[in-house]
Amino acid sequence: MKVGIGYCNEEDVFLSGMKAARGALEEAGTRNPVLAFAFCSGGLDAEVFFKGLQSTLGENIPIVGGSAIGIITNSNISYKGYPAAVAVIDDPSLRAECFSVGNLDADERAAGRKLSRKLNSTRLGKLIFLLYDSLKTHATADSPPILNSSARLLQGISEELKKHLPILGAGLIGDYTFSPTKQFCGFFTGEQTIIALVLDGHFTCYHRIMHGCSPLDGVYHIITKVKDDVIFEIDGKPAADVIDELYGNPGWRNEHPVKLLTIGINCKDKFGEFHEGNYVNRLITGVMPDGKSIGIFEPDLEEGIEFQFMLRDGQMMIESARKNSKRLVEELKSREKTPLFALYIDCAGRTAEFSQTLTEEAAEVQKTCNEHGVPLLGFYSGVEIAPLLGRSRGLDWTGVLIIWAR
Amino acid sequence: MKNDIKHRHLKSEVKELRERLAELQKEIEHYKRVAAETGKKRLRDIDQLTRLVSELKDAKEALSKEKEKFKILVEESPFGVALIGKNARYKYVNSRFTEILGYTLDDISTGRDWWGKAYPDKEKRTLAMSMWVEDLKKFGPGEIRPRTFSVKCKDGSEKIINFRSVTLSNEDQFVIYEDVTKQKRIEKELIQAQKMDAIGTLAGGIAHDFNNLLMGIQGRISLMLMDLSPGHPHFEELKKIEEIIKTASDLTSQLLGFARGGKYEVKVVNPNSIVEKSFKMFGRTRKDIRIHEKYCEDAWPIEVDPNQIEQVLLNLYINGWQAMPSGGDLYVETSNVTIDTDNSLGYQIQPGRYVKISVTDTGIGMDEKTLGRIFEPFFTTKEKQRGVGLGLASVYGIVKNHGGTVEVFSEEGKGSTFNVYLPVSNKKMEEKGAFSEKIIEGSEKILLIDDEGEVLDVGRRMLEKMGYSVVTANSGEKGVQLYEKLATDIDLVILDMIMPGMGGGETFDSLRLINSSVKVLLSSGYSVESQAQNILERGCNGFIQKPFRIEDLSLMIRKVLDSAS
Repeated sequence: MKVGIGYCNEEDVFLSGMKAARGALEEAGTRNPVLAFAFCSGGLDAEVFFKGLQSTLGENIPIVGGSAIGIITNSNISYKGYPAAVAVIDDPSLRAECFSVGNLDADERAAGRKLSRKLNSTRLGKLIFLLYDSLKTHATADSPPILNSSARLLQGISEELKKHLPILGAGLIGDYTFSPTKQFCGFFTGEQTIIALVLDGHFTCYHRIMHGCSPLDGVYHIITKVKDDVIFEIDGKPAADVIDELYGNPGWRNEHPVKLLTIGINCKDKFGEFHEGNYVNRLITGVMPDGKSIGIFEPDLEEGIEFQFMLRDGQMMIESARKNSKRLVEELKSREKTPLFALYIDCAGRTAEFSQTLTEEAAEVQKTCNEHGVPLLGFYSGVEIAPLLGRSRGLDWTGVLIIWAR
Repeated sequence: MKNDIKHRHLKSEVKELRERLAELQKEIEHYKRVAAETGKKRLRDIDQLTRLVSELKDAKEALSKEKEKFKILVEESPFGVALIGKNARYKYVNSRFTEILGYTLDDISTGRDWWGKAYPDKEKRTLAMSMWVEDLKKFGPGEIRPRTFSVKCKDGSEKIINFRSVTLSNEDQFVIYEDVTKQKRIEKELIQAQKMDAIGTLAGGIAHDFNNLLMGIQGRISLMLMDLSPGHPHFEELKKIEEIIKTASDLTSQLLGFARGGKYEVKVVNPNSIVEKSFKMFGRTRKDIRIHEKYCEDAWPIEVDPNQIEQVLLNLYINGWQAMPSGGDLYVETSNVTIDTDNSLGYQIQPGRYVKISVTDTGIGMDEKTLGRIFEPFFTTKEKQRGVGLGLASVYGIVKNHGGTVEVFSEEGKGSTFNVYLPVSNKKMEEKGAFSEKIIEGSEKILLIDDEGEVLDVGRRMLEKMGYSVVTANSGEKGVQLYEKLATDIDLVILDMIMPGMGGGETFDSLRLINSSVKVLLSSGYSVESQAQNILERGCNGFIQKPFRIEDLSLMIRKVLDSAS
């Protein structure tokens, strides 16, 4: 497998696409790649970037990706300026089929079901790489953005999908102000689209989820009033008041999303030993205009659910990235597998700028990949999708490292 | 009974259990509160820490921006910058400093290193150091201390540097270094050029008056000689006087050359032919030195007065020969060069194509002081018998007058190189005409206009001796009046260029108004200055330099008279 990564941080978007593609082809040492993953900053016109890529790669190679807050490669971690990157893969055994469905914002579940019906037509199957538009409506001055639900989407997919395949992927966002995003659907670009790339070939994909949250105090709370992605009451009190009480001041109300607290659902033993992999975290998008309720990133929480407030800890996040990326590569090596390509889907909240850490969490993944000579393409996302506790779920505040190995 | 006992026992147990449960609930509540409080504290601590990290990052970013500004300001400065600690150790030098002087911080980590390297000459070093100390005493912190010194660079070259030093509030020294070597050289050249211009004007005036005097003497000698047979006891004496006049005339000719009066007879020639001819002629007479020639193939043509350029070259050869009293090598070389605005000569001459004629000797060379004065007229380092100091002055004047320049490099004990740059001509090369030593007679009518009575008298008599009929006028106005009356009879006007009142130019124009095909021969004690050149270009038929011999005058008159109108 020949893999090359091209990176560019340039305002001239067409040129950026051309340069990134040229760099990738040069690094891969190929002229005929069979697949490309590409992501570009929300500051760039994704459609023109796509055309820039096609001008170099040709129009017969599927390009999968879209808008991203930032880019991670072996030598760059950037979410400032106009970062963009592309990975090209040339492998005779690689077979990739790309499916897409639009109108995601109308009904996520229906879109998921429709996608599955398309997916059922393929005989391929090792993995589904899923990308979708995270943003249903923009953020306004008074209100946080409304997001497409990964839970409903995945539910729709699972309802119709006949073959059980692991689903990994991301909900795409282009910048921290939640501007509209674009998706690269193989041979065209789309909005409010889901893309499913079904992969097969002489390789296997392994993944790890990087966390970084721990229970704030171990106390379980109950969601007593919720509708879609808005929690009105916790333990019978206005949700925002509960958080005010925790902080001791209303400063968090200016944060979109809230930086230190998430809502954690412990999927295993309620009073068992803490294990980060047992938790599904939900990001709090911010206080709602009524000043009492809070928004959450995914509308998959119901009344009566017990949860714990989780504290995001920068050091723990970095440690988790270091530990998990190392373990994954070492595990592959111990099984005499050769890592060929690393794709890192990293929550945009994990950047040093957003997490107020002195170093980049993604630098730990980068370091591991560089130590082992694994080409790396990563991007900052809104939602990460990965199998957790028996099924693929939409995750928040995580990093999902997927390594292709042979 | 048994049941009662059992009941009481159970009741007691229930009570105990209830009490225990209440205690446990209290304990749970307590631990919940503890956990909640601990959680809150943890959240608030991390929140605080996060804010501190955020502030730290903001501060780092601000610092980084400041550093960037500093970097741009200092590293991209057109001036060299150094920061010297109060212990005289160099703390920082910017890249421009290294670019100008070649020294890095490692080369001059201490003040001692700097003084030793920048001023290897002990005397200069002591002077520079004492000035630095003196300035430090005289100027307070924040006051700029300007100084200019010649500094030795790392590559061995010398550069003139403007220093501006300031004592900072922490007693460090902040020094700015400006390389003014080129600027100083231009200033020096400009002063030199202005000086030469002034001297040239003066020399030209003297030469003009002197030539008129010589004209009077030469004319009378010519007339006397025409009446004497070679056997006459005064014949040889008069011939001797004529030779002395010729020498004197050569002298004024050199002076006029320096005075940048103009070119007499401009032709497009191959520079190699002039150089070769003059060098061979010189080489035949100087057997005590070895001569070497190197000619550029396909040398570009130049438009020059060949006689003047020969004079330039002969002066340079002689100068080189005289610089080698114990023998040596004299080299002459021609080459084609293009001068652009970046070239150091770009400020002396117009950018363009030039032919470079280099004359190099391996003689005694010159010191800087001599170099600064060599082109001044009457400046000489030789004994009086060997020259009057007009040779290089005329070289300078003639070359400048041709739109060129002269560049000199010299090192004491090693020799000198004179590079003469002459502009290239786009015209085709011409063949040189022949000379005649005979008096050519004629019978036409000539109007002679000159304000000098002596010249007018001698001129008239010379012309009459040649067979011409002559009318004279002692001013431009009178000449025009006379011509108006006699235009149809007069075949040629010999017109002085410099006259009070109506000058040669105005007179020429008036004559042309009367008769557009009038034949006019210009004559002057000056050489062809721009005004005369202008008249020649407007259609004047010829020019003759005073003092002239009767043979030369007769030849020139015939040339004009026999030419088509």
